[in-house]
Amino acid sequence: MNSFYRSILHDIFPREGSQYAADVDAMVLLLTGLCIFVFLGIMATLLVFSIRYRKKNQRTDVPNRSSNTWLEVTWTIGPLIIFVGFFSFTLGSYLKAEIPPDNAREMFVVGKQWMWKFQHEEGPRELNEIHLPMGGPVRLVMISEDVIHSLYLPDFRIKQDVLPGRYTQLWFTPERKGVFTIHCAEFCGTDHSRMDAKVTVMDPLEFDNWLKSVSTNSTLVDRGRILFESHGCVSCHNSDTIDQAPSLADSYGKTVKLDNGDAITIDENYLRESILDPQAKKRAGYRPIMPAYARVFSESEVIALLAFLKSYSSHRLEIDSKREPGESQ
Amino acid sequence: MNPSPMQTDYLNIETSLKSWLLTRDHKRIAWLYLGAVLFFFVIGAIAAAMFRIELLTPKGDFFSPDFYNRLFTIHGIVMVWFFLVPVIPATLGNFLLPLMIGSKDLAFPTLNLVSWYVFVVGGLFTIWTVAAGGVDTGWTFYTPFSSVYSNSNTLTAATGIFITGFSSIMTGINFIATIHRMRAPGMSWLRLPVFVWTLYSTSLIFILATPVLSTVLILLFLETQFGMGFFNPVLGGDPLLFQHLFWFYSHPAVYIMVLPAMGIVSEIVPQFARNKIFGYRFIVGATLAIAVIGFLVWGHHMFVSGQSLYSNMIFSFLSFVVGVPSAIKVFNWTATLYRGSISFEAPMIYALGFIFLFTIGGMSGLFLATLSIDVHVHDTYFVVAHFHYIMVGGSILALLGGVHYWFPKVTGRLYPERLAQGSAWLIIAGFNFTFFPQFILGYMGMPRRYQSYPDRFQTLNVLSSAGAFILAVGYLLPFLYLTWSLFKGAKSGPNPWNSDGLEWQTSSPPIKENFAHAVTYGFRYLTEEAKSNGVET
Repeated sequence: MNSFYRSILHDIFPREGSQYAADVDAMVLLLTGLCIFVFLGIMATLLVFSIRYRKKNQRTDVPNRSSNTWLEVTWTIGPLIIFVGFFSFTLGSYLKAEIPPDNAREMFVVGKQWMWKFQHEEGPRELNEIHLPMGGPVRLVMISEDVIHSLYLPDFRIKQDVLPGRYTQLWFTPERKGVFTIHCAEFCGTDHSRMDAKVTVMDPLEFDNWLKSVSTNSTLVDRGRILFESHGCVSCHNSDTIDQAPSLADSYGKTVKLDNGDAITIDENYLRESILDPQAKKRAGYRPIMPAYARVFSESEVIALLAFLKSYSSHRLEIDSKREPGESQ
Repeated sequence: MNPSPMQTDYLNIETSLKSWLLTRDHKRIAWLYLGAVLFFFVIGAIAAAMFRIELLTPKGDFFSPDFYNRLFTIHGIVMVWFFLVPVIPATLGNFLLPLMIGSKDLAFPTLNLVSWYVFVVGGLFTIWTVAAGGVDTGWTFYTPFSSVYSNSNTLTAATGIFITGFSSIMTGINFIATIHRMRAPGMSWLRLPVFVWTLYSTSLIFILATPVLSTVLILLFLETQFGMGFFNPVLGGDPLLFQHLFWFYSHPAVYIMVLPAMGIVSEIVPQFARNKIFGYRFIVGATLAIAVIGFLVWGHHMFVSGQSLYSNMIFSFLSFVVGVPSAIKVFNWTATLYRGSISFEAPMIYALGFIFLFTIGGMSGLFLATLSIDVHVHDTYFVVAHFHYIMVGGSILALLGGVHYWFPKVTGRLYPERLAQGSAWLIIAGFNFTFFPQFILGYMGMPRRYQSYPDRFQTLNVLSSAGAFILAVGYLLPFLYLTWSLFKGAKSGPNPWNSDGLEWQTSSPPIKENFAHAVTYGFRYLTEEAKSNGVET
């Protein structure tokens, strides 16, 4: 019998692919217990009153309106305290789940009707499938080429909408080997229910072998550098021409001033927008001479450029020479 | 004004088709609305029956994916805008509001009729949408799918909703004006029946939220027809702006659906417990609080949409807070039973069923308000189960309770009590069968709007479909026996429930002018003496 109950629980709770998933399940069990307790209390009261005060004969007196201020205050403040308490209690784990650690392995995801494209920094691309090493945090940087999708990993209790026009992110730490499912959770048209993908979580060593077996000649950064050079970006955005255009070396993560006086931190979304539509948020002190590349680069190419720009450093030659192909962080 | 000796009432005073279609009598307009919303309910229910058949098997094998998408879209559009939003205010509300406050009619009888015609015109666009092959955007019309990628009749569907919005606004204005200006002498604000208070709150939401929906539909039209960029990132817009505007209406719309239902329950429970409602002022306060706070929680539909972390935290907090007034109501209904003299006729079974299901629905809302739980269950069947517990378990049960309770008032006849009680139990059972498994499906990770699904979800889906069948039978029964009772039911007399409510202190069915004499309302609950003065036929 015990195994029967366990198998029911096993069915209700999807696999726990990470410690975070187990934390969410614990929270759900706590809230369920709390709700069942209060629910049974209310229902028992209803039942007891229904039996105790069931109609025996026609009531003849006209009852007065009744109210009890202290009772009302109690059952107003009581739920409020419980609700706010639960809100505060669970907020921490949410914030932890929202803010990715700095050492996370980065993956780029492009969603389109009705497929998922994954890009490893080391170069390999995967379709409707990703391989990940167990134990390390992974940060997915995601964008859609058409409508809104939502990348949903039920076994990790996480999802995030994938928008056209700007990046959203999702991070998690796979802590269990196996194959897990990705569903699209935001309705996206005809084959919405078939927009699945597979996540294969492997031992880090196994993963490195896998990475070698599929490795491409160029890393994502290499591809970005080639684009940066072949499209002439480099002719304005270099350290010799800083009066024409800002140098992009070492710029990622810096806060800069815009010509309307606002300050902005150079992040993935700002870089993407400035490539595709440079006049949208102009840096202070530069003439608006850069053409828009909205019709030039695909989302995959923008991703390669971003990977390059994020690593673009005045010391990049030193860094690049140290970097082995297929090296993971 | 002189009632003739042969018992004329609002139904038999004129019988021509013209007298119905051009009537300005709020009681007849309530019937017109009832006919229209029932028509749409049937459309929505047929769509639901069809996709529940599709969901019997994991593979999408009964319909094409595009057809399936059209089924759940029309189910949502029709059930939200053409059934749940108007049904209680425009039928029971329309009929009872003037009677409950001792008035001859609403403040603007012609506007009331116009609102029905506007509703019908909006409905015609919806029928056109279905006839032309349907729409596949989901009832939420999220951009850029609806604006750029959908090859279906988005424009006609949106036009229908846009037009229907004006009928909501007209009803809202009419109710607010009526409650402010048409109360009988002595019917002060704190003597108003709770149902009237909920209609008042609902009307406030009608006139404050509906224009935002109209605006977003106009923006959608301008973007798709004239290329103005509001929501499409390619044109410089932001798809999240659409969601913000949409939910700014559509979250308060949930309260449009559920507040009048709470009002009905607040009338039925004291009546059948032969008690006064416990904590009247607090119930009224909670009603207004829900209407106000309900405007501040729309962002909880967007926790995983990409809105900022701070927005998420604020909306999560406020969503917990909006749960408090609902809890207050449940506690007060329970306390109303205390030292009552309770009987369990069909309306009471529906009202207690409402409390049972609404409490489950409300508690499941706490899971959704919790950020880290919502991230997992958002856009899964958990959400589907949650809002059906509120809107079907809540609103429809209260509606049916109200329909049974006021059936003698409206028709002057009695419904078959035993059959009605049996149907009520059947509906409650069928409902739980249908929707409880969906909580589990959602937590297991089944996303909503899925035509095909992994095999491990099949058992619960079959249960849910079987429950839907029971529920369908449960709906059919009242439809049949109430239709029968309308013509053949035993005469009820003016006040079969022996109620204190002002609406019962006149003949049933009422005369065209509602009350034979000008009403003066002495105090909240009439004494026997005042009652006998009021009943004149």
